[in-house]
Formats: sequence, C-alpha cells, structure tokens
Amino acid sequence: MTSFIDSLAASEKTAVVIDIGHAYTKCGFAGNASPRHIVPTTVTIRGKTKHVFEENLDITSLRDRLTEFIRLVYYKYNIANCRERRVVIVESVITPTRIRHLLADILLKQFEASSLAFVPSHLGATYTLGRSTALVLDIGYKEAQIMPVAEGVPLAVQFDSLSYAGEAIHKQIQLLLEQHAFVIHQGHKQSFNEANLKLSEDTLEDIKVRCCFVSPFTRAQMYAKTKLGSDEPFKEASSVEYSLGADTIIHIPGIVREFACEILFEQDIDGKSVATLILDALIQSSLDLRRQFADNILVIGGTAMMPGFLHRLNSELLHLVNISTYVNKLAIKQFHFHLPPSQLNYTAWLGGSIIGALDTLESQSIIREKYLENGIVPDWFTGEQAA
Amino acid sequence: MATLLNVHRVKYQCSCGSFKSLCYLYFCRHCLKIKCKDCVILEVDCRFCPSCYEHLQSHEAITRKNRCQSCFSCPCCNHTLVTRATNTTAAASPSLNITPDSTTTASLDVDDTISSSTNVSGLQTPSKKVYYLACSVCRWSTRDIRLVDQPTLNSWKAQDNIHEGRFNELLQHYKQIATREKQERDRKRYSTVKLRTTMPTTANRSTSSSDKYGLLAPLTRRGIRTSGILKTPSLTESTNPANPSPKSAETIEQIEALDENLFLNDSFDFNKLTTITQRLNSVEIQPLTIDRLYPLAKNFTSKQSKRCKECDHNVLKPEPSPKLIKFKLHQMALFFIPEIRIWYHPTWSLNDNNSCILSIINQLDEQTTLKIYTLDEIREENTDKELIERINQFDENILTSKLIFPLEKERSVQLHAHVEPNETDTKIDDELRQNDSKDLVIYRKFAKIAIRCFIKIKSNNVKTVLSAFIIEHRVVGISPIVSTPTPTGPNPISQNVRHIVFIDFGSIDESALPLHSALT
Repeated sequence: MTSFIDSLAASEKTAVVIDIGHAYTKCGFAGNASPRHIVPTTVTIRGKTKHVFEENLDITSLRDRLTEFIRLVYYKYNIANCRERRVVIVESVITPTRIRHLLADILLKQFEASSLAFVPSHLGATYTLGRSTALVLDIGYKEAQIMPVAEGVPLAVQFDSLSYAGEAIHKQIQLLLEQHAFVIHQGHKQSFNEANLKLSEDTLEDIKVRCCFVSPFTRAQMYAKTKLGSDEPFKEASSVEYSLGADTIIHIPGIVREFACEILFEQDIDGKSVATLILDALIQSSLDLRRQFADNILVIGGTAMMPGFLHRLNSELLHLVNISTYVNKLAIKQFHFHLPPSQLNYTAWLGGSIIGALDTLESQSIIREKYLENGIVPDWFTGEQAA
Repeated sequence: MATLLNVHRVKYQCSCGSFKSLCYLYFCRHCLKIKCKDCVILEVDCRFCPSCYEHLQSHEAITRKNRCQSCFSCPCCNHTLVTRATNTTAAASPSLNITPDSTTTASLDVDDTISSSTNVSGLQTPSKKVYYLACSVCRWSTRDIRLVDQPTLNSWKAQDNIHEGRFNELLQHYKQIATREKQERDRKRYSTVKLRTTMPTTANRSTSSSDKYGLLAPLTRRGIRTSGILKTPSLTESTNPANPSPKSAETIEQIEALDENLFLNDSFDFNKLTTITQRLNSVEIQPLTIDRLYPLAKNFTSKQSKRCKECDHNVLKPEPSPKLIKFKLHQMALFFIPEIRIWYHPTWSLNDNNSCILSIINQLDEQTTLKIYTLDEIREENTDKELIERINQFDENILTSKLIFPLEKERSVQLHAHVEPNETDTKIDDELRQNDSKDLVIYRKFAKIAIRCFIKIKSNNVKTVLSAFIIEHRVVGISPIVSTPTPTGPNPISQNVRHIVFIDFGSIDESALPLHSALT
C-alpha cells in the first residue's frame, strides 16, 4: 500500500537517509515510514567479515572500510545512484570529528552526492512525536546517550552518556555465565570456567536477544536481598539449554537470563545508572523546563527494546526520586513516557526521514560545491561554520 | 588468500596511486589511464528480481520499494519460497495426501510449473486448487503461521505498517511548516532587495524587478508602505485553518509490564523466539515469536555500469536485460595491458643477484611491442617528471629489492597476438623467436613469453621481497568527440603509456618454486 506521500517521495531525487550505528545501520529513503534495511555495520574483506568501526583502526583502513560500506549501502541495499542525490546522515552529537570528516570526504568527493546533512539522532527522534520539547534517551550498542531538546533546539551542552548499553550487557552475560553456568561438551559436564569458552559477539547477542529479559523491579529487589543472605526463597526463572555447535550445550540458569541486564540499572561506583542519567539531566536543566521534560521522556534505541525495559525504568525512577540523593533536589515525582510511531531501533532514522523530505533540507546541508572549495564540515563542537 | 595464479602478487599502479591486481582494474580509452574501483562512479542500470528476473524501470521499481511482487523469501532461512498447490475437495478428505508438488528446485519460474500440475484425485467431487508457500531448505511454510491457503496465485499481500498513517500525518505537518519557512526566507530576500539600497546579491538582481515566483505580488498588493518593515509574520497567524496540525503524541497511560508467563515460566522455550536476523529482515514488524513470521517479498538486485570520473565516459556497461551476462562495453585492463606473472624464483640469497623468471601474457588481438625499463633507467632518463616522482615515493617506502634485467638498455620484446588454444600456425611465432635476444627472453610460445630478471635484495633485515619495474606499450585510444562530424568517425589516437608494475615475491624464507622443464 503506497500512500500519496510515498509516491510523491518515490522519485529519482529523493534523499537517501542513513543512520550508521556502531552495531547496526539503518538505511532507506526520505519520506518513507520505515527504513528499507537494517544491516549490521560490517564489510566483507577478502572473505572475512570485519566491523567497520573496529577499535584502534588507522585512518586509511577505516576509510577503506567506510567507503566499501557506503558503496554496499547504496548499491546493494538501497539500489540508488549516489550522484545528484542528497544524503542525510543521522548521527550522535558526539561522533568523532575524524569520522565526520571522513564521511563528508567520501560522500561528497568520491561518491559525488549533491549535498550532505548531518542530523543529530536525538533531535530527529522528537520530530517523530510531533513535539518540540522532549528528553530523549538513546540506548544503542556502545553507549546510552541522553540529550534534552527544548523548543526544537537540542541542548547539546547537557548531553550525557554512559557506557551501559548493548556491549555492556554482552560482557555481563559472559561474566555471569562464567560464574553460574555449566557446559555439556561431548557428554561431559563441566563448569563454564573450566570449559574456557570465549563466546563470540554474535553468540552473545543471540543469547541476549532470545534468552534474556529485564526483570521487574520487585523481583530485582528480592534477588538483591537473597544475595545479601536473606532467608526468603527466590524463585528463579526457568533455565535454558543453549546449543553452541554440534557437541556443546550451555546450560544457562535462570539467574543469568534475568539479571544480565541488571548492569543497566545497578548503580556503579559513581552511583550512576541509566535511570540516574535521566534524573541528572532533569536536575541540570533549567527549572521551567523540568516539568515539561519529565512529562515527555522518549526512550529509543535497540537495547531499549528488551522485554520489560520501560516498565523497569519507570519503577527505578519512581524509587530513586524518593531516596536521599534526589529527594531534596527534584520536586518531580511522576514521569511520563512516549511511544514513537516506529520500532525503537529505527526511531532516529525516522526523524532523519522526515527531515530529509522537507524543503528546508538544503539550508541545513553541506553543499558539494562549497565543500570542494573550502572543505569545511560545520561542527557544533569545534565552532566551524559553513561559509 | 592464495589463488590459482596468485593474482595478488603482481600489482599494477592505477592512476589514483593505489596498487591493484590486473583483474580488478579497468582501462579508460579516452583518458588512456588505468582506473580502479575507487576511480569510477557506479550507476544503477537495471533493477531486477534475482529469482524470476522480472525487470522493472527505475521509477516503477522505486514505487514498488525495490521488491518483487511474486517471489518471496523464507523468513526463517532467507531462501526463495516455492508455491505449492494442493487440491481442496468439497469432501472432508485431507488434501495433503494428494499434493501434486511443483518441482522443488527453488530457482525455476513458479508460474509455469503450477499450471501443469494435474488433478490426481479420482473422485468426481469438484476440487479447486489452493496455494501455499513452502521453503524447501528449512521446511517452513505458510501453514506454520496458520495463513489460510490462497485460491489464486499472486494474492500474498505484504504486511502493512501500522504506524504509516501517523507518520504521514506528521510528515504533512512538517512539510507545511518547512515550505512556509522557505517561502518566507525567499520573500525576505526579495523584499530587502527592493527597498534597501544595500548591495543585492547577483542572484537576486536578475529576479528582483521581474516577479518571477509570484512572491512579490501579495506584498505589492498590500501597498509599499508595509514592505518597509521587515517583520517575520509569525507562523500562527498564517496557519491555514482548513488543515489543523496533527495532535502531538500522547504519553502512554499504562506501561506494559513484563509478560511473566512468557519469560519466567518453565514452559519458556527460547526456540520459539526469533533470532535478531529474522527480526531485522522485516523491519516494520520485527516479530518476537516465530509464529508471527511472514513471507518476505524478495529484494531486487541491480546491474551497474561504471563511469570514469575524469572524462565521464563509460568504462563498463552491461546489457540492460537481466538474463544476458555479456557487456556492451567491456574495457577491462586485462584486454589492453599484457599480464605479468611470477614463474620462478630461487631460494633467496642476500648478497647475489637472484635470477628469477617472469612470464608475460598478451591478451590483445594484435601483435604489440612491449618495452621494459627498470626504475633506475627511468630516473636517468629524466623526461617524465611525474612518473619519477611517483617512483621515488614508492621506492623509499616500500620496495625492498632492486630489479635489473640482463640486457643493458633498449629492451623491447615483441608479443604475439592472443590466439586460440589449438592454434597451429607457428610462422609468426618462429619469426619472433629468431629475433629474440637469448639473454632476456628464455621461452616463447605464441602469446606467452618468459623473461629473466635479477633481484638484488637491499638490506639484511628484509622480510618480504618487493620490487618493481616499468613497462611501456602502445594503446589505441578514442579521441574526444570533435565538434564537426567527420564521416570516418572519431580518429583513433595511439599513444605510448607506461605502467609501474609492483611484484611481491613473497617471504624471504620461501623456498624456490619448481622450475618448469621448458625453462631450463
């Protein structure tokens, strides 16, 4: 079913919207209600699959991988010509400058796109709500990033982030498996530690996606009490037999399944967790906006799609506002959340799609001719302005 | 990664500076330069479905979202789904026993095979065919998700996006705001020009007197006196009351708690949940459980043509029809430049000249002359500054050994034209063999010759033996189109071109390659 808008947008000159995340990339055309593809951010070089944003990569390899990846996005997934089309890249505000410059160079010089616009993901998400004021929390793979947007202006100074997101959950799963799980390898039962298995990111992701969930607040409190030696019996969740290849089965106990995601809510040594991100952002914002922000919280990102996440976040917030650290600083005791008209992992892309379909796109983009002249990529961080 | 011919050992330098094997390079006949993957621009030529080869025009393909209407992929394993027919009779007999299967090879065209399936049932009750989709690899079928079998072939509808209506509402709303903003910005620009005596930009000057876009008309209607004031009319007063802006999103009343029955119970079967790849295949729905998977319409693939960046001429142009694999324009470097391969190298000794053998194979259809130079000779010649610059840069950083040839100078070898494998006319071959200098050319057979060279390794702590040399040959290019059409067509210009060839002999510890009997 193609609506009128879609057929309007379905021309040769529609902008291409790409949201390059650390783990997954969402790509499609502007004006569409959903991206065409969500693909992992990897390229295949000489038969081996490699991550585009690998750690400690030198600039030439990064450039090669990024070029190859963008080529894939255009010609394999989107099937669109790059020349004479506008591009919208949805990015986080703290994308490293060298990656921004690389993207601008590759897209404008090598692929000859007609213009390039960088859209902050948090701002894009507010467009999907039809509101101009919201507190947006984006929990992806590498980090959880929060940024308030007031009256359409992203308050970049109040940006904050924590590295409690998908990758942290993977590490926690590995850790908990070492503590609690056992492995049946070719008929012999051993503890996970003895078997010395190092699970790949893909396996950990599969365990996270299929077996794990976010435990409700009350159960988490009960479990914390039992760990400290209380007598109340704790009913574990059911365990799972996860098969890893032909002759290895990992017996994953219910505790691992339920409490792997606790890492997002357990307050670390600085007292920070995903919930305190929100509360700290509220404290830092000006008094007149606090009520508006607390009434318009938007949580996006792939990790936020874990079952039971939003309910737990709400319970944590309600609990934390009544304890010592926050009870005197914050008068707000109620929080309201939004659900965007999309799945949470592509909400930022959707915002980019709306922005990419507007007439004002040109004024927000870097035009190719200007870039070839002066090579400036406007950045809020370094203060460079477009000429 | 080792290949049969070890193609990654010998690399040629492209005009952008990078080194790639000859099989990955293109040759532009207009600028007479080698081009690689990064120096060409890809353009989508043809979009088609990979299983039924349905070929669509670009605008149509875009409206169909680059998906085929009749081919579907299995949501479980991503292979092509096959349409199977069964007969449903008016009687209650289960139709599974008399299923006439269409052929199960997934790549065949589905429509032809269905019509040929016959009614096996001997019963006289009226029966009609119903169709369901099944995967021959993982055995998933539409019956697993309890979709009713369809009576007609092409009635599998794609799932709707439940959020699409809301999205379109929002998009309309923002589009209105954006167009208004843009109009105001343009209006502001024009109105300032008309009244102030500040310097107008050149773009505005041409259009300020002529009311090109109809923006000044409402302004002039209101009278000149209002245009002196530069106020930005606020958005609210010019809101068209006929289109109310959509409701901003409402917050959720009650946040859904975790479905404890599903996750905490002993009846939890994690195999009933979809994997992340299965979820991401259907972007809009992303089902949690496997009984909500739905057949995915197959995505199109494309054929691309490649265009040289400098001169904007096509370098590679495939046939537009998806079923033909030939090329209209096929300017691969392999067809213009002789190919060099390593044939033999001895066990490396650090101090002497190691004698190696390289083979040169001519792929052109005509006889060519190839001149071979070492790097030093080019430097001495000192004519081609740019080439010397490139060589120097390269030599300092990368090369670990020096390559010299037996003859002192003026090395040119004649290469036979490319021939069929069972060619027997050896006249030209014999002639050329007589003219060869025996030091340089050891072996000759039709289009393939072997030349000897000496490698001297530069220093003691070398790990891999890398060296380079230059070849020069003649190419016939196509000149740019002249303004006056000549009856004979474009004049071919032929020119000598030089290429730097970079050879990676491998690790210094590698033992000697076996020596071919013809070379001794």
